[in-house]
Amino acid sequence: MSLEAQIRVALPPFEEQLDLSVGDGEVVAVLGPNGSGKSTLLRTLAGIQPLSGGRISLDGTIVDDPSLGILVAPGLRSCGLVFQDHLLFPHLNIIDNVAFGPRSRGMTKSLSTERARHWLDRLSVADQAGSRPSTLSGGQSQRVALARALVTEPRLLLLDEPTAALDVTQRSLIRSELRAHLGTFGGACIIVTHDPLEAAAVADRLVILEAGRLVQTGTFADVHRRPLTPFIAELMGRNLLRGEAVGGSLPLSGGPVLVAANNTHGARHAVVSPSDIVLSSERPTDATVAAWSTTVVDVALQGDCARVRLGSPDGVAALVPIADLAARHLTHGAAVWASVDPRRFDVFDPEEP
Amino acid sequence: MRAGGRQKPPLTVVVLGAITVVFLALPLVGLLLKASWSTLWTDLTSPVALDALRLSLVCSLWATGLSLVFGLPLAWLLARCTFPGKRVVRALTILPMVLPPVVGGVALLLAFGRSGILGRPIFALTGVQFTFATAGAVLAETFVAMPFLIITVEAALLGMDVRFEDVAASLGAGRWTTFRRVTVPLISSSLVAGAALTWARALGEFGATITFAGNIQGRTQTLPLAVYLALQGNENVAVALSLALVGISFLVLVALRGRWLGAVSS
Repeated sequence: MSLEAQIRVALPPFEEQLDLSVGDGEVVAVLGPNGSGKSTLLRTLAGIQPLSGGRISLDGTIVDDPSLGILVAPGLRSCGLVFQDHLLFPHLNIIDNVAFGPRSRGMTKSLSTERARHWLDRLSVADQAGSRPSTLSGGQSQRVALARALVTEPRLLLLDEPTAALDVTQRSLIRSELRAHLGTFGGACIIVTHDPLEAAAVADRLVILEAGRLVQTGTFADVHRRPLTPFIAELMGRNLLRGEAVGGSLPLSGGPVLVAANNTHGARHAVVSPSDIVLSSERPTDATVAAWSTTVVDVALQGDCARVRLGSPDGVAALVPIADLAARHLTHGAAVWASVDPRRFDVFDPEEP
Repeated sequence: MRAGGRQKPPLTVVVLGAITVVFLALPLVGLLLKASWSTLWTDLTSPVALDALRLSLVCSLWATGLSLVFGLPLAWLLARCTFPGKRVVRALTILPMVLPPVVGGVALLLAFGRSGILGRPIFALTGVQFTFATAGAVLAETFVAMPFLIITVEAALLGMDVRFEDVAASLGAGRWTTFRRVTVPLISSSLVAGAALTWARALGEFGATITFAGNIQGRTQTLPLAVYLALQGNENVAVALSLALVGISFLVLVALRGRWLGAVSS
């Protein structure tokens, strides 16, 4: 394993506590709500913020361990850092930006310029070598930022929301580009993002943080199928309903009652996509559907559909065609019946790995 | 009718504004009218004037240099670190700006005069004294002018995105390299503005210098002191020297146009 980290660090109002391993060549996407500790994680790994406990080791070398009194400075721990707004030094031209790392590590000017040119070439921005950062497009400046981080040949690459500063049309282009560049990077890579699509496109594995704890990790498909918390379900665009299976039935809190196998007991998660929830003003006559009565809390447009948030279970949303909004009187505060074909639910035991 | 969406200003405001302009301009007009232009060159090249010019230049540049060497680290500490008594230190750095310079001079006497807290041991050990010496004039100017550098640079450091320093550190730059190659270039315009303001303030220093260092031609008599003394005897020289100071100050202002404002708004 290339990166082994036990992070223990103050993250007011709580403490960040998580264990994380990332292998060589593995790309891990870290997702989580604001203030969940994503940036703090990056800062501790980069060495900008020291740990208060735990340990970080890179390729078997301890770079931070307060109990041993070890704290390796950021520049000496072979760790590349790319911020969301790229932070190219505005007073240096592109080639000097990229040559900054080798220069600071004591390489001669001509050698570091040569190395910088090589990396600009690899990332196809060599034609911008003499430009100022302010004249670059978002995509170009991202490539330069990547070149500046990679020229020092780090063992760990940290990307903080790399495409958040770009506009939507550029984003998907840069994302596939990023995937290609990261594919050739041999070290461990951690990419912080708030965009599950970016995580799906770029990362091998997702890590989701909430309130400073690791709440779930797995491939995008895993996490999409079995989201463990309401936040993760929402991130994946799905609804998470929870219940306790007993005696052949699974009453979901605030929602319908599902049929369960006779021998199942204990906590269950039932996940359903918003487009599988049907809303109607009358109780559905079909007895095979799982139905419950609730109210409309909020209506928001999403593409050519309306996302209708329901009062119960809290936070659950249904996706309905805009035309149905008026026809079914789906306005704020309206009483509605929600129904789902029970086969559309993904039911699983959250305790089971 | 509205031009460009702007209202016609109220008459009272216009009148008061105009009075202010006249109030600010009239003294300058007075200087220009009173100047004896035919003797201006000889007045400015008289030994007293030349001594004062030279001394002013030397002392103000020294004061600016000292402010940079000692003020920059303090500005950095104030902007980047937390330490007990920081608010007191910050108040202390601004104090010379609001203190009457004469009071500053008296205080400097008590600290660095021949019988002062630090002045006495320094004199006893080395025989060096600040009073009635060019070093004293430099000290007085530094005391009064340094705050301009500190607050300008501190504001720039606070306004700067510290993540640039994080990036530099992650690329392998030590603290000194980061400071030299990233921090200083990023705040360079404020640094220049702060240094220029410090220099201009040092150039115009009067009260603290005359109180602490004395008024000796060629040693502590800078331009403002020479103006004051000339006013008692040769008024033409006083006006000529004043014009020289106005000219210098004006040049600094023009050179700084935008920079100072930019530093404040950032």
